[in-house]
Amino acid sequence: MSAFLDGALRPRLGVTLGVIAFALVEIAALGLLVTPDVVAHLEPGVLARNVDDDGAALTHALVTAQRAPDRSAHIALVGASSMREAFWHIDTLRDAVAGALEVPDASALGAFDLTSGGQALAESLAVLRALPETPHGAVVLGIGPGTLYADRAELQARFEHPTSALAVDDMNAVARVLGMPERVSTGVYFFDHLQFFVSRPQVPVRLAVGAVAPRRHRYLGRVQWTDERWGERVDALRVGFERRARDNALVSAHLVALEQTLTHLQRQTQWRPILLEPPLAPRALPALAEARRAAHALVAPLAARLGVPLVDLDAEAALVDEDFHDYTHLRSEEAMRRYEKRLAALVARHLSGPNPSAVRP
Amino acid sequence: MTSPRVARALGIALQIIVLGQLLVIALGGLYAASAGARVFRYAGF
Repeated sequence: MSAFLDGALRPRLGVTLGVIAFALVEIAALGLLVTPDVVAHLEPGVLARNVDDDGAALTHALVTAQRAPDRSAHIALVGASSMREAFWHIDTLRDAVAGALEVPDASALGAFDLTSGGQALAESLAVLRALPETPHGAVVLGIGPGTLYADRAELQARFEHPTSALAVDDMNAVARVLGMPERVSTGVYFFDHLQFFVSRPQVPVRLAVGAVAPRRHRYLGRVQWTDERWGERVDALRVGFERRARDNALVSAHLVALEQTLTHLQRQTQWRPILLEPPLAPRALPALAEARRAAHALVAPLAARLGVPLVDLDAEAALVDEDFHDYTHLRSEEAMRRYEKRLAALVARHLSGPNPSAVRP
Repeated sequence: MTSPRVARALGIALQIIVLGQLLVIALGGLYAASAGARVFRYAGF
C-alpha cells in the first residue's frame, strides 16, 4: 500500500512528462473520435448543457438529418423560437402531413426539427445549406422582422462564437455575403467546433449517467403578458425592429444570402423551400404590423422571383391573443396543434404539387 | 499479493491519468474563457 501511495502521490519529472503526453493523446483522440457520425449516434440530450440547450439539439438534429435513410419524402423546419413554439412536435406534424397526403405509414416520411431559440437568419441559411442533396422534401423557413433585421454586433458574435456546430464552410458561405468574419476550417470536426465542445464539458458525465431530456416548449402553460408587460415590451420591440431595419446594408445582404441559399436548394438539392412568417399576436399588430409589412415587402419579390411560397398562416389557424404568451410564442398545446394542422396542410400541398419528384401516396 | 514495484507503477499510472485528465479539463476551460465560447441562453421575453 505504501508503495502504491508513493507512486500515486510523489511528484516526479517522469510523471509530469507522462501527464503532458496523456493530455496530448487525449486531445488527439477527441479529434479522431468526435465526428458527426458519432454525434448522430448519441442520444439528443448527451450534448446538451441543460434541458434548454437548443444549440446542442440543433447540432444533433442536423447531423441526424444528414444521415437519414432516404424515404418517400422529408420534412424539415428551420427557424427561431417563434417557429419552435408554433407546432406541437415534429412527429405529430409528420403524422398530419402523412394524413393529408393519404400516406398510410407516416414513417415513410422523414421529419426534422431544425428550429432553435435565438436562431439568427444567417444560421438558418447555414442549416439550409447543410441539408443533404438527395432526399426529396419540403423545408419550411421561418422568416419575419425578428430574424430579417439583425443587430450587427450580435450577429458578428454568432459567427465568432457559434452556439451550435454548423459546418464552417456553410457558415463562411453566409458570412462572405453578410460581411461577417469567416473562420478557418481545420478539416477536423472536433477542432472546427472547439468552442461548442469545450463549453459542454459535461458530455462525459452524460455518457456515464444518462442524457437529459431536451425541453421542447418554453412557453407552454405560461400566462399571457400582463397589460403592464405589454406596455413595457411591445414598444421596445418596435423600436428595436426599426433600429435594425435602418441597417440597410445588412438587410440587403441578408436578402442576397437568402436568395443565394434558396437558389442553391432549388438547383443543387431536391428540397422545396417554403417561407413562413411566424405567428404574431393580434394585439401586437398596432405596434408591429408596420415592421412585419416592411419585412414582407422586402422578401415577397424575391420569393415571387424564385417561385417560393411566402405564407402567413395566422388567420387560417385562427390565432387569437389568448393563444400567445407574448407577441409571437404560442402558449397552449391546443393552439400549437391548431397551427400545426395548417402547417401540415401547407407542407402536404407543397410536397404533392406539380413537381416530377413529388411524393406519391 | 502485488509486489511493491507493481504497486508503485499502478500509483504512477493513476497519478498520470488523474492529472492528465485535469490538465485537459483545465486547458478546455482556459480556451473557452479566452475564446469567449458561448451557449445561447434563453433570456425570456
